[in-house]
Amino acid sequence: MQAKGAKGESVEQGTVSASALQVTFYRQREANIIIQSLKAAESLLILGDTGSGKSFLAAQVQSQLQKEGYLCVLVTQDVPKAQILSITSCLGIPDTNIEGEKLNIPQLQNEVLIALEETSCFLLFDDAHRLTPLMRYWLERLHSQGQPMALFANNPPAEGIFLRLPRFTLQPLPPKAVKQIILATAQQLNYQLSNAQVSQMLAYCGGSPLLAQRVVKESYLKIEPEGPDHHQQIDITPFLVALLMLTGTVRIIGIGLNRTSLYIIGGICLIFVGIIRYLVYRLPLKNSRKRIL
Amino acid sequence: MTGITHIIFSATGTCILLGTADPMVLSVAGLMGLLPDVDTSRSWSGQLLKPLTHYLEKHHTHRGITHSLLASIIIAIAALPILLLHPQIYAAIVLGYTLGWFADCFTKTGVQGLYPSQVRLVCPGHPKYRIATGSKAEYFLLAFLTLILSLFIWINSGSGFIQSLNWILGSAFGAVEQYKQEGGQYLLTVHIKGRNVQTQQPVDGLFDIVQDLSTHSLIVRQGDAFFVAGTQGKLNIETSSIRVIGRQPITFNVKKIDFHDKLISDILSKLPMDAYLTGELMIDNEVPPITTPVGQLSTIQAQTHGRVTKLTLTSAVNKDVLKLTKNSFGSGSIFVRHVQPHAANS
Repeated sequence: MQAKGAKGESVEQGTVSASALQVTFYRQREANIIIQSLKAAESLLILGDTGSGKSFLAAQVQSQLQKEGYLCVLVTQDVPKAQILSITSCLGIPDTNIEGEKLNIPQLQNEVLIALEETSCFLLFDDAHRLTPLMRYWLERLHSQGQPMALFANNPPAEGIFLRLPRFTLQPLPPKAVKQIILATAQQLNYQLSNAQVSQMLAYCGGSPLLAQRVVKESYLKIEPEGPDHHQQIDITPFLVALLMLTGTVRIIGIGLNRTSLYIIGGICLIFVGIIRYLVYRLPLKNSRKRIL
Repeated sequence: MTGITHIIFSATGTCILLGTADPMVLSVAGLMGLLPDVDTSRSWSGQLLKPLTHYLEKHHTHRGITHSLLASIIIAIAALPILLLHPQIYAAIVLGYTLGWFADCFTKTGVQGLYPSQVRLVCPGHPKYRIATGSKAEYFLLAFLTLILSLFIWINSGSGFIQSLNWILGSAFGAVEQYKQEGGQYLLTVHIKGRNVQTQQPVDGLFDIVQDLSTHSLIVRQGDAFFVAGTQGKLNIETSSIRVIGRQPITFNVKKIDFHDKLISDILSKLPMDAYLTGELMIDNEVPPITTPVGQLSTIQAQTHGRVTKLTLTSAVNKDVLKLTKNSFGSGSIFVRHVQPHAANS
């Protein structure tokens, strides 16, 4: 529920700032790829971490396609019935049968399948990794029918429709873009930021527009940021430990040269490195995909 | 990290890696440790170099370009002229700078060590265990680093890490190693604790090192008495601890003398009386019996074969050899080692 709220907010924010503050849309190249692929009746899977701007990109693709006069539905995270209904209402399919009874999900899915054989409509699925199996099987049927669609997902399972589609991953935004998002968010909050503050905030974002907005809000609320949540980092602990392990070569040199003191020093170093290694590997690893801390 | 932590971190790293305690080198390294933080106006170096800081803040991420291998390489190239003048200062500049940004790996946000890649290097992986600037953990780290720095300054200003360890262990091999390294420049005085193997007397006193015998034994002297001291081999004194406590600068000469059928006293009297002789002498007559007190090393061994006596010398004092070979003709091949303490320092 919380995740959904955050997601909704980020989309809304992005749209507002784009229109009101003329923040450039930084993923135009990606949007073009998606649009061209859809026009060529090809489907695509777009991967990206939480907050990398998938929802914003999806909304942009939809609005650009609609501007060009294409029929395009953006299916967002919701219960399956609502998701299907958002498509049927766009295609003008009635959600009742001749007797006036409400159709159930499989019936609606069939109606859509039939309708899409004749009508050309692009389907965009945001948060596709959260789609229920029922919806995913239906997507496979749509796909085999040749229906062009774009799925936006974060770490989806390697099976079914997710394996079938050609895919690309959204790269982190360049620092310039993140900086503009930070400035735009601050402007919305009427919050003055110095260059020093902006450059410090950038260190927490790692090219993620969502984190850029969050960091500004945290700073505005005078909350000390806990640590970066982005994945643009490498844990160098193993390399450091390996480097320290090299001090063990002193021991070998000591044996080779018959220098007892080098042998002893090398041995002591190795034990210290062993202790450091033991302590370091006792520290919990951050697994931010599952838990916040 | 605060400025002071950076200074101490860079100075400590340089002190350990270069094995120096030169205050000039360590201060240069410490100050260079401040330089990477020129990218924020909150730092000391940022206050000092305002225009540069202003530019960096406007165009770069904090702990970005200045905290990278690229910046280290640029510094290393820019400082090349110093390499010619003073290599150790140059090493301190490059090391101090690199350690300066490397220390920031341990902070919450990490560093862009591989700039222009935007990837940040962190250690450890969990942000909770990384250090926030000005936090209590940082002051703990600072105290710990200061302790390490003081320890290594003390070690490096003495005789270095290895010898300090040997001194603590009081091992015979340590004394042998130090003799091998410094025996040519210094007369080493050792404090030996142990026992005399032959007389079973406890030994606790000061000796001068004469020469090394093996990796674990030495010949030492106390006045005119010579001993083999160590932990392995044929010994007079088995040491439980042997520590070098005094170093006296010396001039040290070794020369080889070969002679055939000459009056030995003619040759030996030209040599300093306190020179050490090592080698073999064949003389044409018998020598009076050599008496060495129990528990000491006899530096002269005599073997008589008919009319010929063979003298085997192991760091024997010239004066003693001369006494034995008075009026004798003989031949031999000996090494003469003369150790002369510097008058000014004695």
